Amino acid sequence: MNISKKKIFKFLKSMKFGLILLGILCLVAIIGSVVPQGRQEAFYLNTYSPLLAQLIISFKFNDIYHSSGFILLFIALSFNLILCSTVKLKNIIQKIKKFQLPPNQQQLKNPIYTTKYSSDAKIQHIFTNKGFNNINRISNSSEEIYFSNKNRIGYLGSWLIHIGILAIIICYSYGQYTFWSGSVYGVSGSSQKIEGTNYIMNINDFNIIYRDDGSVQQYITKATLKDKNGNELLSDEIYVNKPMRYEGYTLYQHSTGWAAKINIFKDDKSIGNEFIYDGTAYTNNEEFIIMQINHIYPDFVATKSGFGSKSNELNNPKILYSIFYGGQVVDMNIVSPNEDIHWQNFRFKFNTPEQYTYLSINKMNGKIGAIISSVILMTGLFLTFYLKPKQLIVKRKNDNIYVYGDYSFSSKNIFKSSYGSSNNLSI
Amino acid sequence: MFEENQSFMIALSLYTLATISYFIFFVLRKEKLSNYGSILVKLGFVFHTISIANRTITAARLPLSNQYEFATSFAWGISLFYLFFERKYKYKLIGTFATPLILILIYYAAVQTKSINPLMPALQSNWLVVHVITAIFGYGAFAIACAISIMYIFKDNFKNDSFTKKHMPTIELLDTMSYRAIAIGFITLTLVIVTGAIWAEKAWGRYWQWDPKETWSFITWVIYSIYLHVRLNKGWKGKKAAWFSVIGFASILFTYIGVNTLLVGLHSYGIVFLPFSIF
Ligand code: HEM
Repeated sequence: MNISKKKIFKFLKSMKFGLILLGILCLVAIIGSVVPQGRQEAFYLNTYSPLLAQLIISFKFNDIYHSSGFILLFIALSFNLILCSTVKLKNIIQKIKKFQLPPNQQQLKNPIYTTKYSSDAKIQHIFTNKGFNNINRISNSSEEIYFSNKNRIGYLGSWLIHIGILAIIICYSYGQYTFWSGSVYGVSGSSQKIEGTNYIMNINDFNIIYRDDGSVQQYITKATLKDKNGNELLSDEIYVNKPMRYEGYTLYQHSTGWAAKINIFKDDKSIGNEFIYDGTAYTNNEEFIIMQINHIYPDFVATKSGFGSKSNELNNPKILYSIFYGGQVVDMNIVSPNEDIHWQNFRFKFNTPEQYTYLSINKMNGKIGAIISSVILMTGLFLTFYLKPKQLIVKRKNDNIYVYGDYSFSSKNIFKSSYGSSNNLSI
Repeated sequence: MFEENQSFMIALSLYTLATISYFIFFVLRKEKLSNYGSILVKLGFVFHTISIANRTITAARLPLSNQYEFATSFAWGISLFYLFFERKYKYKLIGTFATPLILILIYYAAVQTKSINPLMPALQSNWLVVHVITAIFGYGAFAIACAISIMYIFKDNFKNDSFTKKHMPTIELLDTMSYRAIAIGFITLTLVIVTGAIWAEKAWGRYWQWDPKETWSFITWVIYSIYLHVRLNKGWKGKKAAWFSVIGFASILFTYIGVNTLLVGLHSYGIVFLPFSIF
């Protein structure tokens, strides 16, 4: 490797590069939190000045977390972490090994405390007083050296932190990359195939539990998941904060709305009946006729500013509908349930509306990996902050005891201040 | 006994008086006032605890769900950590720098609506309880770290003053103290983010969506991780690291107050095409 390549490599694995990337990541995240994400271009053109809107759209600030720049940033960060962690590991292992060796001459300079020797118990006490148990001893003709260390494992702390972060990035990216989502909805007793899968969902029951003050306590769907042949796979309750899980798929209680069953007659002969969900339509391609529910009002009121619903209870249900024939709106009105709607030789009748449940479904891989990585990260943090490697060295020469502090972390001497501040150190 | 609101107002008054005492102690160098300050914070903390306990009993749940409840608990967390650090390190001057932070939060709580609302379904989760409790402890520790870092910056600029020499820890101890506080804060913040992600996965189906609240807690986390690295670096040690601790706390305040008032979250513009959404 020539010099410049070496230099580049050194930079790429350096903490400095890592910190620069983290700084940029902060800036990008700030932009992402200030600029609303994932809206139509028109939104930005209407909300911001032309220059700013152009800037947002050209730099993809409107979908910053999916932009190639953002992905590149994470790739660079991962690369930096991999390089740094690989190089560090060898270092750490060496440090741990070296830690157990007898102290060198360098460490036997500048004692932080000196006292008179009275007995071996006194030396023992110096160690136990600071929480050191395994005391090693070497002696030569003129002096005896005692040393002990603890929390060697702490050296692994920062390494585990970085490995944990790296693993979280990898698990999250994999999850995002293979993410799948869908939905299924229906009223009690209905059944629907889950698009994009081989599963069928039976909505056995849907309940909304209200508190005394009228607020919603919970939305509960009782559901049965079946395979394509109708064999039951799993049957359970789904409610907010308690999704149903099956083979990596997770089904969530997402929302609810109103639906009404419609009966359709032509020349007084029934030609069909089905549930129509608020905002959706019954379509009959043979007859070129479409019946759309524009809105269902469970507790209808007409005010000056328009129609509305006083509550979410079925006190005065009304349905605003539109009929299309050959692509044209031919009728639009508000009706009550069970009221006949006539149009030419067709007759329509809505039943009393019901609330349906809407379940969202997704499959996000790597969740367990992300949890394990988080545990690794947390363990690393704990080791780094609370199990710092410490070493205590005591030298006895003639009648004197010299206490040397801890040299495990660079040149820092963590015991110095504690000895310095204790006036009556009981050694 | 004292009602929630009554004890809250008493706590607020006591904290205010404590702040004034600490301020006079620092500006006019009246040593006696630091003792008053310390007693006032302790008394304030007692009434504050009574107020929070009362609300917990009335609401039959921990008061951790709206802006008022979290602000008062957050102030309580700062107060708790302040008392802990004062006891451990015995420097009352920390109070001059820490009590204003308690005041910011408790006055913010005072102007919020105090009504007790039942929890919407998405908030009924034990993960959320762990999430918010850890946030209170973590944020409390970060607030104290911020106060100590401000002291550090202050001391660094007024080195030769005899009063600061006597009442302020050495610059090395200040650095160690803020590092210890940030270590507590950083571990708990990581736990806050992890438990928040677990809760989001159960409630919304995605453990991380970059909504503004999540994003800002991530930004805060990154700022403190920069602090931790900068501290390891000789050239950047000390004052520059202290600034990161102050910026980190500003970021916490923004995550908590700014995001709710200035930015919109996913929770309010969820991708819901159906007429009536649960969230
Ligand atoms: C957000 C991501 C990161 C977090 C949360 C993090 C966290 C930490 C923590 C807590 C420490 C120990 C600090 C202490 O002992 O007081 C540390 C050390 C360190 N970090 Fe990071 N870090 C991150 C990213 C990075 C990156 C991208 C690099 C670049 C290579 C890096 C390089 C280092 C180095 C070289 C050390 C010193 C390790 C040692 O002395 O063993 N870190 N990090």
